Amino acid sequence: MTYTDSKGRIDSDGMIERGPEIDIIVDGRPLHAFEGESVAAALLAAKRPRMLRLTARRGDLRGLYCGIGLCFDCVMTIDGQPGVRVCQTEVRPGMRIESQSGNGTWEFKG
Amino acid sequence: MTRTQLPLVVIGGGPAGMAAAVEAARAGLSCTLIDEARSVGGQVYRPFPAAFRVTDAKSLGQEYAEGERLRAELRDVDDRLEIRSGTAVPGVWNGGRDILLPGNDGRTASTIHAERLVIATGAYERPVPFPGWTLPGVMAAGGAHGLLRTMRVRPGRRALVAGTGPLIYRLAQRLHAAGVELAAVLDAASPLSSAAETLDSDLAESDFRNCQETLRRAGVPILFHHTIFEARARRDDAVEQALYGPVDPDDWHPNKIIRVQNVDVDLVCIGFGFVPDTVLTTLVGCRHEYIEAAGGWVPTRDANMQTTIPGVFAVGDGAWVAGALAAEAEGRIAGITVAEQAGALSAIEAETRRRAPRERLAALFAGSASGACIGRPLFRPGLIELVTPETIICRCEEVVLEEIGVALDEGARDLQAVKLRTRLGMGPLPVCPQGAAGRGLELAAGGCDERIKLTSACWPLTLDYSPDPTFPVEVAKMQQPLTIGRAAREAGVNIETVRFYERRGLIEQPPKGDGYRVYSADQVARIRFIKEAQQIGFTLSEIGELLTLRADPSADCSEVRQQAVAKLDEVHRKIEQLQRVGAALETLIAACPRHGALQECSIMDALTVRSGLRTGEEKSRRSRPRIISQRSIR
Repeated sequence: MTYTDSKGRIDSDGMIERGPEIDIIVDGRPLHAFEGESVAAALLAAKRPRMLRLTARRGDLRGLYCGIGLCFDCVMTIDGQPGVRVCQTEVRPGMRIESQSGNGTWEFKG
Repeated sequence: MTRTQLPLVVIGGGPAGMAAAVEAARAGLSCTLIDEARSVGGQVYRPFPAAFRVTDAKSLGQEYAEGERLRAELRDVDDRLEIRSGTAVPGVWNGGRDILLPGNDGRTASTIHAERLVIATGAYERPVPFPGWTLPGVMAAGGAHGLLRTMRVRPGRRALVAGTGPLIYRLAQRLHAAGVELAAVLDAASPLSSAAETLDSDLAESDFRNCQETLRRAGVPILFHHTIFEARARRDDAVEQALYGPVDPDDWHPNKIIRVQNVDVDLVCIGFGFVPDTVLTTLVGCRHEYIEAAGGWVPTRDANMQTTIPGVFAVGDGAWVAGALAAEAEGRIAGITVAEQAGALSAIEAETRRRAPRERLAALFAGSASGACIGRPLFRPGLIELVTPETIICRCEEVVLEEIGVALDEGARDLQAVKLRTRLGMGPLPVCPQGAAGRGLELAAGGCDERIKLTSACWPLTLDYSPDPTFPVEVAKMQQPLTIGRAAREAGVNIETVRFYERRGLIEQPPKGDGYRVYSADQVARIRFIKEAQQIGFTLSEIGELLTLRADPSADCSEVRQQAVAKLDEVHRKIEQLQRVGAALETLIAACPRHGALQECSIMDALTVRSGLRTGEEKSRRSRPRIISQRSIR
């Protein structure tokens, strides 16, 4: 199942053209995104839950808060690396993004 | 290993950092510019992602043009400039000479050495905690703005915007233009002060009025002296409902008793101004001072933007929140001065080059209507009352207010001690030693619990990142402003009582300081005196006389004694009167048959006869059963 996407994107206003369309994988499901977008923007634009992670101590839901890389509330596990701020990370084709619980776990390759 | 000394390292690629690098490089100095973002510009001049194509630059507005102009200036000096983008600086030591940089692999780090350092790390949005502020869907206004502007993505469908200052209107207008429905714009300030408290010099007053006008025409409710009280999620994973209501016009103390409204929204944007990011200037060891108008704790600087450490400069919103244009002017002054210190410019030439940015800065601070109010505080102490004991104060470490109270109960007497017990402000990553948004909130709280009253004591000294973690709680308490809410609490009365005493002329209303009235300890004592005297039985006019006597140096105690004796006589008379009443009631009760219809009630009959009240059988018959039915319900 693909998330219903593009709902959150502002239609082209004649001033800006987005980059080429690419596919990323969010919690195991494919999602369309546009090159140049931050992971946060791609996730918000899609009709998917706005929760990005569960906190370590209380298990509370958190989403995007400051949007400028300061608050670390938007951290997710990207390509096996936990604790990555999605507001500061650009999408790449095939990128795997997973909601994170607590501090997440490292996935070591090789 | 050879130690390479770089002539100049600039940390931060916003307008201040870019301008500093441009000026130093123009004078012939090699310069390294380190920026956390992928491309320079900072928050205000953030460029579009490289993969996006700008098809109509002219329509993108002045901000975009200013950013492009600065980037073009940087390109002109690129032979003397190294830009390290996507690099966050985790630490600076040795008086600003050693700068730690993470490696590209994300696992290693290296140190670079600089002869001179310009710190231009900008500001972050002032975190204002309220119940539910950590829910997904509650966003800082700047973050929502960035998504709309740079990413062209709507952060929600139906929004509530709360805060103050012109930027919330600009955000609201952008949300509206993007097709996001707006439930309301809540401005804690009054219409007048909100217009005057133009934080960002980039936003001309006319622009601000246009935003408001557009919103009004679109039918968006703009409520002054209102703010958000709570964000709630009912079933979903994110905010679904917001509660809001009026705040005190003076100190923005929320009035949670009357008129709390609720709206269904999936986005709440909060904007209460900015706090300078002083982590690096603190790490280097610069001296700081608390300046409310500057946004909080700021490094002490000379006219050329040099901190108390020679060769270390601080510029832009990280040193004094004043907006992008002021940041650029400060950056230029610092860049020129660095070149002068390095011997690349003569003193005369440096002074000549500094003239234009200095004039610019002076004009921004003093000249224009908006500039005159740069950096006026967009936060008032009453907002702290939004917090409940269960509200999370430190987002990173998930510390709630109650836990801070427990730490204080257990003997923590300074910030450091509270931090060690609760992890308050620790933050998850070494890059972020004070816990980012959480760091702004170290001990913001109060009012909801006597036990944790001490907590609120630390505002304003610790609301922002405090360079002195050993600042004692008691000292902070003495320095807190006595707003009407605090004064009332200290005196043990409610706010309305204070206002009533003011209207009766029993206490003088203090003048407005930074927009809100600050009471003196004497006035609190006076309020307490009035309350005590009232409890003893003195009327307000008698209390007025007592207060006059108290203030009159020629008055002697015999006058007070006279008044007290008169009062005592009155009390005796009242006791006598009440004793007569008691005896009469005893007689009536003794005569009561204890049962039967009300018409036969001996007590009612006796009272009716005594009062001469007999206004027709009909009326008394109708009214009596009603009394019975009302009583039987209880």
